[in-house]
This record gives sequence, structure tokens and C-alpha cells, in this order.
Amino acid sequence: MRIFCIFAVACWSHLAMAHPVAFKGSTGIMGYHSSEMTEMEINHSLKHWFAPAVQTIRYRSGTSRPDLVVGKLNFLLHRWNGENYQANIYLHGGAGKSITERRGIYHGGITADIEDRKFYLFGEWNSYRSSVKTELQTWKVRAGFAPYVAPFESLHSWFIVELKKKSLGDRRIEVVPTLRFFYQNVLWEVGASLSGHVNLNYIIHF
Amino acid sequence: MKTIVATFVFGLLAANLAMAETANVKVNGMVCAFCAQGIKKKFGENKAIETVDVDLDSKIVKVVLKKEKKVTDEEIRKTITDSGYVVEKIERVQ
Repeated sequence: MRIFCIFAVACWSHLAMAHPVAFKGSTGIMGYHSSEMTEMEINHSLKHWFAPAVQTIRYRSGTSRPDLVVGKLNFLLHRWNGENYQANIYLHGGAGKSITERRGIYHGGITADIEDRKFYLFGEWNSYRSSVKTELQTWKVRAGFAPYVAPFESLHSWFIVELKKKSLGDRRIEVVPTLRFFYQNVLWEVGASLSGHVNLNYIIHF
Repeated sequence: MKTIVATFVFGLLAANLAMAETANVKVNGMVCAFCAQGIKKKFGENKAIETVDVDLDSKIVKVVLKKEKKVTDEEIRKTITDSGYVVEKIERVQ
């Protein structure tokens, strides 16, 4: 029943990405949805530093079908647990298929973040290549701050500015002011780019 | 008679309180409530533990054990490590 619920939530919405490894034994669903691109990832942390995952990406408009499907491994390469901050470097890689081009692809990427209770910086690069060409590359940088510091069991809010770019389309850097909220094991974000695209993201850890 | 009963009840309560042990665990890296949910969940899986409170201000996880139950420092360290954090110190109080 629990697995069914996880997949039902995952399939119901077009989501994807962030925090690729969580606590040991946890299952994470991550979604990143905009009109231009939809990513979804389901992972399971076998260790606090290692999580196999399945990821789908849609980058064509006018369809709900994914363009890329990837089986991947997420690694926490290093974590700095300071008294008042935490910083992480994650590596991820895997292989899959381009549904659109009908050929195999392989994937590599890196994610880094640092945060304390008031400030947050995040950077990420991902590449999806076939033997013929680079199917997709994405870059993302984020900076955020919390307008108030909340206790553990309260609703947490963050203002975030996201800069992102992908190798397809107009290749412009898109600026996306975003509001992030989280309560217990559920995180959700709502953003709107300066060009008017709405972003909806979420992460749930079970 | 009332005095005897009250004394007995008080003694019983005091004995129970004395047996309930608390571990105050100072944890480094605990800055994000969303990420630290794992700490609460992992400790919650331990049947010897009554309650878990996470304080992000003091960076202390307060673990209250069930009466007459024991959890070793090693178990506490493993739980925190499996959650992705580092234990700085553990203090036991009755």
C-alpha cells in the first residue's frame, strides 16, 4: 500500500529534483515542473550517502510523455557538518534511454549546496549524452534566505532566486524568483520566471 | 490513611521518574528542519525510546527513554550518522 501511494503521488504530478540522498532507509520523491521542462525522480537511500534512483525528464512542449528515462546512482561525495552550517557535494550518474530519439543515453552530474538557518546557496550541473550528441545539459544556481527562523516542527519559509539554463531552446538564462516552504517531511516551491513561466517543485521524504 | 496512600503514590511516581533516562545529544550540521526529519524518524523506530525532541537553536536532540530501557551511546551515534549528521557529545540525565 505504501509503495502504491508513493508511485501514485509520483505519477499524479510531473515533478523532480534536489536533495538526491537523504537519511538511511528513506524514499524520496522529487519533482520540478515548468511549462518548458518537467523532471521527476524517485530514489531510495540505502545509506545516508548512497541512493539509487529513477529519473524522467520531459523537455518537449505539447506532450506529457517523458523524453528521457534514466536509472541513476546518487552519491554524497562529501558533507561538512559544522556547528551552524551544513555543506554537501553530490555526484550522480547513470544510463537510460532517449524516448524521443530512440537511443541509449548516459548521464553525469554534480550538485553542491551550503546552508545555515538563514542563508542557502545551491549549484547543479547535469548532462545527458548519447553516442551521437548531447541530448540535454542543464545548469542551475540558487541563492536563498529565510525571513524568519522557525522551530523544528513549524512551517519554514524561504525566498529563493534561481538562475537556470538548458542546452535546448533559446538557451537563455532564466531568472526564477521562488518561494520555498517546508513542513515536516514535505517541501514545496512555487516560482515564476521573469518571462512568465510558472514553476512548481516538491520533495517528499517517506 | 490518606497520608500513607499519598506517600505510596508519590514514592511510586518518584521511582518511575528516576528510572526514565534522557540523553541530550549535541548534533553538528543540524540546520535544516526538513533534512533533520530523518533524526526523528530513525529514533522513532527504536522501541526503547519514548520521545524525541529536536531543537535547532541549541542543536540538541533530546531522547527520552522508556523506563528501564537502555540505549547505548553507540546506538545513538549510529542513528545520528545514518541520518547524515555528526554527534558532538552525548549527556545522560535521569
